[in-house]
Amino acid sequence: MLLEILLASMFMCILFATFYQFFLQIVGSLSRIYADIELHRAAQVVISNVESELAYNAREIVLEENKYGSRIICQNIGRRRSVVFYCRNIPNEKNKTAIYKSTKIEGRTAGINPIISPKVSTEQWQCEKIDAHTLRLKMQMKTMTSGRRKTFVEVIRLCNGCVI
Amino acid sequence: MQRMRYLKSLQGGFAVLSVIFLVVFLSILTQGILHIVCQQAKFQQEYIRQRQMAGLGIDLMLQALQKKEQFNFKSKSLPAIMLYPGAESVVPQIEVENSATLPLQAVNVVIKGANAAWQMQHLHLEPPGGTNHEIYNNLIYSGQEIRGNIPKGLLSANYPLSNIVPSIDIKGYLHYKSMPLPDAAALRNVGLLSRIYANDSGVSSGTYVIDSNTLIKGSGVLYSGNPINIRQGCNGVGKLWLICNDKIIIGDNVKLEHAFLFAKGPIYIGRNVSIYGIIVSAGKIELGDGFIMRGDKSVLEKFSTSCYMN
Repeated sequence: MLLEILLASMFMCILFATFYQFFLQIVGSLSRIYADIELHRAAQVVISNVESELAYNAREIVLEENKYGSRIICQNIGRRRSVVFYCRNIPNEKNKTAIYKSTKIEGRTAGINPIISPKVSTEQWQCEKIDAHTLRLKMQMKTMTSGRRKTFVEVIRLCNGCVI
Repeated sequence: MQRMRYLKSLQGGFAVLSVIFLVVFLSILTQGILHIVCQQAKFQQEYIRQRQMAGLGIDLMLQALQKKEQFNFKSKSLPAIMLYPGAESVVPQIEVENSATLPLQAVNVVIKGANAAWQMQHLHLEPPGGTNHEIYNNLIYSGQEIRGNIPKGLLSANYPLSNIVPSIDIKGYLHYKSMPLPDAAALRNVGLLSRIYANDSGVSSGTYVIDSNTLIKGSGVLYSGNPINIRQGCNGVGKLWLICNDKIIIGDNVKLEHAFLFAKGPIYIGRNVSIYGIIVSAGKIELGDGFIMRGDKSVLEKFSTSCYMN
């Protein structure tokens, strides 16, 4: 029985070796699917985070530009809290940028946290005003492992605030 | 020789096993891929649906608020909408609800799907009795007496211009509240979120206290069935409505810049207090030394709450 299994395994290895291109294609497709999933999830986390602040919690939104893209400054309805979304390079990591959320409560230092997976780098982060109640957010993300890129564009409507 | 014959007899077996191995391996691989793709598709579908609902809700709410002023419609069921992507049919509904017992108008956007419903609400609230109630012709009014030094020009020659104190619908405030009364941490970290905050009049909830030296930022309607106590040194800089079914106590050195105080019980005001707004009490009002008040009827304008998706 053991011999049978050994021989079968050997035969399977030969099959793999013969049709290795086909199997490599499968593995390649799998890694691309995985990278796409990773990019989509990262984008969804960012958009959900930005949208919940902008659409419901923001009273006034100011857009600024820096060398990494847009800075979205949201003054909260609560008036003791403001939130800034921006892109910048990750300290001690070359050529890798991430999206950060800086939450400032009056009288305290701002709490800054990345809102994106460390496996994903942000290549583009642009926010444009469409009208006083609508923003267009464009971001390009790249996975660090495979280098796969994707651009995401979302339109965000403001329910309780306006863009200045 | 015997060994060779034995191996030959096994040839058929290992070929079959190899094929089985291969099939098992490939099926596991396929299932793995399918599982990942299905999970992601499900996640994506839910995410897109949430965004569609939020987008639809916000658009309808903004339209409803514009049209409400123009046409003053009551309630409207809109035709069913087929969502794309998703092919889910949803029925949006805009309801303009006028409270029978409160001077309040609620604009509701309800989106009913196959398995769930989303609701967005925007409230327009007037002071008890309505903005134009005759009691608000007085800048400060007490149903009994006002003790202490009343700043000049606050009381008209014909005071009281009206003495009918409107009633408060306790259940109405509790029904439309979006949050309980904010605690110290909420006031310190966030501020008031332009909403109706209310606590019931149960004994367990006790007096609502705002701690000393609290900076009250943002706007809000604070209703309490029990006494409200704003301790010394507090500073309110937004539009603040304090509606109380009991007494209101304002500590020393409190400054309220845009406040409307309405109490069914007495109002006690400490020393060196500044209030810009309107004060109405069905009971007595006691003013401490150094009381400064500037009548400001703009605090009586409709209070529009912020809008959230549930």
